[in-house]
Amino acid sequence: MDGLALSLLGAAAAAFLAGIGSSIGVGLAGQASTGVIGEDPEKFGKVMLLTALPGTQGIYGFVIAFLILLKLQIIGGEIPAVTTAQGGHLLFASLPVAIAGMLSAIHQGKVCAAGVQMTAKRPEESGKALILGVFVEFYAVLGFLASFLISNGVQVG
Amino acid sequence: MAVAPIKRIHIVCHRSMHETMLVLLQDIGVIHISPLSEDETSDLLEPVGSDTRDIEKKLAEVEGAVTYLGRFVPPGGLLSSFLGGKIELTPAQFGELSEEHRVDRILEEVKDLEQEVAELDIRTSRLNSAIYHLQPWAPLQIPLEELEPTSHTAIYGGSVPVAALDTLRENLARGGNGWVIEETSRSGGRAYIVLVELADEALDGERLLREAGFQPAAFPSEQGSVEEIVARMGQEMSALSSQREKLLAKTSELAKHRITLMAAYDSLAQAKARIEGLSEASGTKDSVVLSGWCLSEQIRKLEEALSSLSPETAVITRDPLPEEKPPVALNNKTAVRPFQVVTNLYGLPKSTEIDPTPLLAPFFVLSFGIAVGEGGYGVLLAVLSKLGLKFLRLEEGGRRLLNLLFYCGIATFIAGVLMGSFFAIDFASLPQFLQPISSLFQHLQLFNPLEDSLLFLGIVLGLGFFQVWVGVLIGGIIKWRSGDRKTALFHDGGWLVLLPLTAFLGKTIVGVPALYPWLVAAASIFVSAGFASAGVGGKIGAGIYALYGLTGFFGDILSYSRLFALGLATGVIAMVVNILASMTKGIPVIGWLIMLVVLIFGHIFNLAINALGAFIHTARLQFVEFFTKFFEGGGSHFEPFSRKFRYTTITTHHAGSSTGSKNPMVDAK
Repeated sequence: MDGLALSLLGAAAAAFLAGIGSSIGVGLAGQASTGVIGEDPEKFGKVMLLTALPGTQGIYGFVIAFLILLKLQIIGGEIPAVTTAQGGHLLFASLPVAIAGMLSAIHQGKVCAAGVQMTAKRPEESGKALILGVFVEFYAVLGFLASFLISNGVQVG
Repeated sequence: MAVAPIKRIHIVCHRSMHETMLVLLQDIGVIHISPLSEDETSDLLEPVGSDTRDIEKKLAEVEGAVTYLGRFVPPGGLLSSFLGGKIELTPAQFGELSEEHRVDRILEEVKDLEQEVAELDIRTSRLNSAIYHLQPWAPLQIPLEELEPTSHTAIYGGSVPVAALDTLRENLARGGNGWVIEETSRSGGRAYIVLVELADEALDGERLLREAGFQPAAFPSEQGSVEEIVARMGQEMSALSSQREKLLAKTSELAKHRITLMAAYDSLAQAKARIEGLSEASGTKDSVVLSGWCLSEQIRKLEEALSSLSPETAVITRDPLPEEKPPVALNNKTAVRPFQVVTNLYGLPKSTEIDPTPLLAPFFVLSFGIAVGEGGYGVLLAVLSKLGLKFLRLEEGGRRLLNLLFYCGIATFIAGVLMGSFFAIDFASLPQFLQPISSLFQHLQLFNPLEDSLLFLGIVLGLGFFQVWVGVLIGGIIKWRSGDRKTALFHDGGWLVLLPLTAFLGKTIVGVPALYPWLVAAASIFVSAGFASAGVGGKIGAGIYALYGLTGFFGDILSYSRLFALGLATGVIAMVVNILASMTKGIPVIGWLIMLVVLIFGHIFNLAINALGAFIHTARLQFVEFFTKFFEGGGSHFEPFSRKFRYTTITTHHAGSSTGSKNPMVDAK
């Protein structure tokens, strides 16, 4: 298979898989938040932070996608010849952030949705709900790290 | 570093003056009320009964009215939903506004208006539904009052399914032709009919109708044809609606008195707090004993205030007993106080523990700086938080958070400049006349995190190692001070030696292979873990388990790699924003404008999302990686009995006399 196609698959997967995860995660937390805001609009600021939290995975995925595109010089440049092996390397590089990002965003969404409900009862403790959400997020950060290190090590052209 | 020293206090006063005393205590706000414990009380003392039900009912009424009137004032916007701005009043204004007779009058008016509008709404919706149900009968010409049976005829008005209509006709025809069906309209698969028949048993229209699925119509008891009735109802509705308009206009007029109700709410809430405070007290026939906690530094203030109130009060203070769990107040220097935000997020130390705030402060700013790692964002964060402090009216907690973010902004700026990132500008490509600035930044740059990423990773893991090591050191010192010197020396001391040596295993330090001292430290940990266990087997097991803790330290230190990833992510996203913005430059005429918009929104979004992430991740590093080495937490908040305001705040500087002392402004009964 064409190396360029493989690496583009990698870039795309990083963006869309992590993006799917974040959409689901933010969706879960957002549903819980609307319920709380319906009861008490003043809690908007607090539940908004919890709702935004599972959104970071999508950004990590996008950043990796962007770095792969930069490496391929898709954005404003001469696209170098990419061998099948190199394409495969970049595809594999995208997997950690794509898969760990997607799954962690969904689970983080669940934690945050529960955190939103907790915030409804005890608004002063919403910081603790954020901390618990970040426990899940760490594995997306590691996935991002792994993807970054792998793709950084791959030489193209 | 210890938490603020605290004393147990008992205040005794004559029964007649407990109300004034509670007002005074609420004013000075220094005591945390907690009831007498079992050991402190005696048979002579009885609880001082009090009932908050009446005042709670009144509070609910006022709150309802404030909320109702809130619909008639323009909303405050997104910012105020974050900040929850309160209305500033001088003590005189507050007192005047919350006068009971004024409040009751407004409350009455609001309640009446609300009720009248609700009644109008009910009547309107009834008319609406009546008109809706009359719609199918509109073509009926005869007045409704004439749809009555006579001595020779029976009459039925209602609907049947359209499909059953023909069968109904056939069945009726079989019984003769002494009947007529007037069909007025069809809708929703039903035909609306009036059946008139001779009162002739052979016809038996009633049964045939029932078989056809007939539903009798419920006509209103009104005179005239359907058309006339509907027209009349329409007129009535428009009359109701203009009446409603008038009522709403009256309510919006009243909405300017909402502030009165808000002041009343706050005044009532404080009266309620006093009743609740009193319910914690005990007393005899002639005296009241109120007990609680007071910070040592505030005892004098309390005693002076009480003795100025009346000589017939006594304050008894003593140190807390070992078995008591006093509430905890943190006590830090001004520079460190903003970091209490972080400690509070985790929970307060126990009264016997140290306050970890000053210990985490340097690590927190450093970690935050690295996790954002963007010089430009640091400047932005510092400037924004300073502006917020200047222009927003915030309470203590909000001010502390902004002060903390200001420190974090400065740390971020320094970290960003050292990593050569300032709004991700490519200094090499700057125009010639900016050369001095770019060469300055290039000089200051220590390394490029994208190129020397392993060096960057090494730095954050080094920071992690150092903080974990410091954590173990603090834990050891605490144990040493508390008298557990053997464990402190052999266990914590062992780790303090072993952890750094682990990095040099296989090498030699000043001629000695690092392995030897490493083994000595490991043996020390192994042996010291067995101190508490009985039997040889137990000692060996405990020793092995303690050494296994090394993997935990590895996990802790590796956890700091998040700073590396977060720091890189900020820089890379900033770069992405710049590239996206530069792409729009090609658009003719408005290209520059779009570029500007992309740059501003992109960078602000990136700052917001990364500052949030950096804050929470950094806080987690303190809680999970650092606190676990020496800190447990679980203390309860020192919450002084004081004036608490929900809607309003009292400005003190306008008051002619100093606040405190005898201030009768909120003496709601």
